[in-house]
Amino acid sequence: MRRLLVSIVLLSVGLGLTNAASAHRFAPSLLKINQIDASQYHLVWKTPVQATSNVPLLPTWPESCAVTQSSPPHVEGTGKVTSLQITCADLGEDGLVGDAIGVSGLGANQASAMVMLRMADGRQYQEVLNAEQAEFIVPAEPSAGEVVTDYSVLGIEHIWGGIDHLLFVFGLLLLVGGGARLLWTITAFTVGHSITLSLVTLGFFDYPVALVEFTIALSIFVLAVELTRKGSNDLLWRHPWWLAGGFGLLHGMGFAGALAETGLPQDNVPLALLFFNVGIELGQIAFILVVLLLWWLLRRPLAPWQERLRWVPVYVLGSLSAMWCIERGLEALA
Amino acid sequence: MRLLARLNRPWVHFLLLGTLLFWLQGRLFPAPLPTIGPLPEARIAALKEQWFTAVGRPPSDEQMAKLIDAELDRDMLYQRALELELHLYDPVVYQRLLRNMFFLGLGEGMTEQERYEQALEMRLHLGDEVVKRRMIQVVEQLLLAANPPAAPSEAELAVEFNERQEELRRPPRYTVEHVYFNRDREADVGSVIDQINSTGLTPTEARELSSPFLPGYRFVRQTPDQLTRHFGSAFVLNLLEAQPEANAWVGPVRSTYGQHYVYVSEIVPARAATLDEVRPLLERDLKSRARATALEDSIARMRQDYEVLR
Repeated sequence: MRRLLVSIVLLSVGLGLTNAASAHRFAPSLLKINQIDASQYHLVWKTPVQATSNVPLLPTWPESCAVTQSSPPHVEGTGKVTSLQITCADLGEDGLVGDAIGVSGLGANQASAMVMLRMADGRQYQEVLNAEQAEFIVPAEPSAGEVVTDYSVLGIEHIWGGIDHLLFVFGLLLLVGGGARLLWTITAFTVGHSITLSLVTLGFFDYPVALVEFTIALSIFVLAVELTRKGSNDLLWRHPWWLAGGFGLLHGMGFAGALAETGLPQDNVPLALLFFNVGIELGQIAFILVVLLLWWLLRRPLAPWQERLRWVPVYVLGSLSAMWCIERGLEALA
Repeated sequence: MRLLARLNRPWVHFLLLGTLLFWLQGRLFPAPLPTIGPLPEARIAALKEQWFTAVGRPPSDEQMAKLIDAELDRDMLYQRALELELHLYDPVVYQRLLRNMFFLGLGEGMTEQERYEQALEMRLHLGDEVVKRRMIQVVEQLLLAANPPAAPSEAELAVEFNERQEELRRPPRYTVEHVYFNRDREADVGSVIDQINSTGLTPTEARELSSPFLPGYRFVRQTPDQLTRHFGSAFVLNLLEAQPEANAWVGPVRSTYGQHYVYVSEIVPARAATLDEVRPLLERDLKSRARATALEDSIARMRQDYEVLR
């Protein structure tokens, strides 16, 4: 009996699939919201004519909003379109910001819905809703001050969370030592990664992520190999900022990936980009200071073994970067 | 020696140490398996709702557990499809996303390719049930291609044939002709039958005395099921109860339409089926079962690649 029931369910699901092509069942619904003024919104709700369950698909909005106008639904292709106007008098100056808009009945209909929201100040949001996430909280746009602090912190967090980037900076430190040369080299690295980070984030070019991750590991490997050749009087040793700047371009693409996951505030893209870079720079400086402080503390106790320990950091750098090269190389080839 | 001296370079050491670290990392810190599930409450509620709609009552706990397991398997297959980026190469998904974009009124003025790319960018493929089903279907096909079910052997066919002897038994077949009396003529039944018997009318001659009967008057080598489709189950029941014999009239036999005076010209008794007769059916069933087993085995193996959270 149980088998029979399961068969019935499967059959009904199967039939649903067969009919899908002709009737466009399970089609996504569309909820388009335009803010007219501080408290009024115009909504267009388009949903498939043919439902897949008895539970209706309906747009939802905060309880304090009331429908002030609505047109009778009309059929448009395989969809049913309704036009509404809602007034949200009690939501305050921010209107829907911080409140939820959504669609009910998505789970029962195995459907999805797209919410497109255009605010009066030109901001636009787009979100695909489904049974798991049936609501969209209208995000508040952060103020300029918040962007400055949030993205600076984000930059610091990212550089401190990315051990590969830190090891590269550490390698540069080993390459050039302290002083003005270090400052110029680190600055060249910053300029390099700022350029690609900005260009990628602003959509000027795209890149294969796996390949870039591999080349970042390779850059550390190259740096480690270069450190073993200390004493040779070649161009790189005399002008390390070329190496730092060139590889900085690669690392910038890596940073862009992290920024893409967070997203950028629509009104303050340049500010967010700038302070993400500033955060990375602050993080780098803090890391260098920590390394120099540690070196200052350990220099005397380690003095008797200084010559023997000289190769330890280079080998750490070289071995870890070789491991990442293998790991990321295999991922890129997969 | 010279080769060893040449290999005694820091970059070679780095590579060797890096390989060792890579191996150690894999042994000591294996990459965590991708997780599937647990299903959010909203989806569990939707599963219950779908079951209720199809069956008319809520599922038991055991049924619910099976539904959830099946749904998690679907999620896993879909996840594998996304990992393999199958959605980028499937014409059904391509057309479906174009259709969704058209339905949503998005991407006007764009080429089909641009519209499709925008749909992917908007991640429309992730929320679409039809895309999901299609992707699952493609992954199942790939699994079956990698682990093809074996064709049924003669020995399996023989075992199946023996086990299903009773089910496969050929039903009896009757060749019948009839004279039909609709409800308005029930009073005439006796006199017409007397006339047929006394004058020795053949069935074809007797047909002149019949009321019109749309399905026809002569039915050749029909099984009881086939006769039921023409006359209804009451007729077949009454006919069999009357224990008809070949080359003899039987009746009147009542059906839902009225009464019938039936001439049975041939009775082929029920018999056991021969293997050749049922071979296509048995092969189809065995293939279908082998396919289901191969798929279930492949899915069970795939579960090892994921951490399934119930």
